[in-house]
Amino acid sequence: MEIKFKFIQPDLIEIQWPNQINDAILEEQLLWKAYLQANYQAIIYEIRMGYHVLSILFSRPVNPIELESIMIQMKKINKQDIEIQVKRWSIPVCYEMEFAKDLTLFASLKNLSIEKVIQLHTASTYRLHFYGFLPGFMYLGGLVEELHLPRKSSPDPLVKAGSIAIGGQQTGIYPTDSPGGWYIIGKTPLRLFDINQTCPVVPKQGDFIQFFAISKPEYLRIEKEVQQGKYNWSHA
Amino acid sequence: MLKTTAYIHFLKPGLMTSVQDQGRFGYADFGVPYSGAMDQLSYNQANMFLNNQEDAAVLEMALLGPIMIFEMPTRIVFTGAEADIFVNGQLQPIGKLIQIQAEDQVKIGRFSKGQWLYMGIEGGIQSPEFLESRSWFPSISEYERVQEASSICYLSEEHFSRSHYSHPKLSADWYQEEVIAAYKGPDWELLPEELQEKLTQQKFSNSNISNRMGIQLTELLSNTLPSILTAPVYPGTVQLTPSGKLIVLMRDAQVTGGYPRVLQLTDHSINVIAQKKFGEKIRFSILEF
Repeated sequence: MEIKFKFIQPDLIEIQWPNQINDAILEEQLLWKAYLQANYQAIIYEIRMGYHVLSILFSRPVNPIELESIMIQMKKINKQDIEIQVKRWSIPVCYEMEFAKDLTLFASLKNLSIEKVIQLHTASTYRLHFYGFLPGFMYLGGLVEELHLPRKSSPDPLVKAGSIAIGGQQTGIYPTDSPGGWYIIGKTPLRLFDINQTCPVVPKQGDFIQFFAISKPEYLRIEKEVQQGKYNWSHA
Repeated sequence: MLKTTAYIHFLKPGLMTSVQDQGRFGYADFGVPYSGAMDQLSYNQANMFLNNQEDAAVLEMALLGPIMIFEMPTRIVFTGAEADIFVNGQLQPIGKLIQIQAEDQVKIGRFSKGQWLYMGIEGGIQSPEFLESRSWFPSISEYERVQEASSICYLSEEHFSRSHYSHPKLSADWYQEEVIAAYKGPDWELLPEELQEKLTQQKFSNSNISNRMGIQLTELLSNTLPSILTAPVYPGTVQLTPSGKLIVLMRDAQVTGGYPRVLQLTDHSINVIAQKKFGEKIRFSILEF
């Protein structure tokens, strides 16, 4: 793959992969990120990710010669040398009307039955590329083309935390109450961002996510468990 | 020295009053913005004048300031914007260490220069920390803005010797400069040459669509760039929207964005542009390195 390096400011470097969303790029990003964090911890302040970008903020200015030597090392990385743990998570979703205010509209705009929408949405495995937009908002890859639909022309002023939505080529979960322009097709009782935990999110970059349909009574039961701190996220 | 927990009671909360510090770092991986004082230079000055720790929390105010009552003695200092600061009805300048007694009233009136005013307090504001920072941000901290009739906590320390304070002269001169120094953003090369020239030669001004997340500029660029794949952004990133709007991302900016990132402001330029009022002119100057 063709990769470009750009100096943005003396302590900020951006690495760009081809303009695509795919697993191969994600895996290389994760590999490089893990390598940099393990070997250059002393001079790296923070690493951010986009779909095809790795942004490296150093804790001090780096010079081009230094960068060159880092890049030469990176290109030599062997996949086998770095272990990246990837987990699979199952997220319960209630697709019943009460929790899915745009599902009927979405299905009719896509010329699909509601059952077909749910079946397609739960059949795929999604890949967590990175968090952005809001604390705990997952950028997921892998929505099937049959469910692509441009976002709504006028956003909703308030989308409830836990809402499962589709916008453009993406599906996602609103981690907190927020305005939003995506179609709301369901809701999960899980907490996607918990400020009271040392690590406020559960799935990590590179993990797989799968949705499964639950009834309203199940939703209420899980919601209670979450509130009591008794719910454990389950692996797919 | 004996320290006692005391409260500042807000009779009027003001419009955009919040607690801020250096910011919340190390959580961008989870989508958590930096936050922190909009004008970090004035924030640092406030703590320096008080001999506080450099990451002590301060009160940030804008537009319409609060009215507050202090429960116990302390020392405070104001930095940043030039505003009418009344302590028990007496006008006080920015940069002056002010001795506060129990039941003293502080009222912030009209802002004459600058957008953001900081009140440093001896020992720092003691509101709770969330993810290692006291900066307020929706969904992270308990509050986003100071509420009517609410209180925030500080540590009162009795001073037995009445020390004499020198009074550093602070002014608003440093943010009157028009030039905003910036690096070329990661998507600079996507811009046609004509737009690159416009961006660095034309004058722009802050619009009134401005908050802690970002400042939209009034003048439009005739843009033909489409959106990009969602990519990292930082405070100081200048985005160009498909309709030609320029948005300067500020301290509460999201960690990623989908618009081309045409410029990246220096730390100092972020402080300067933060203090620019609606309609004030700016000009971007590219830093090569």
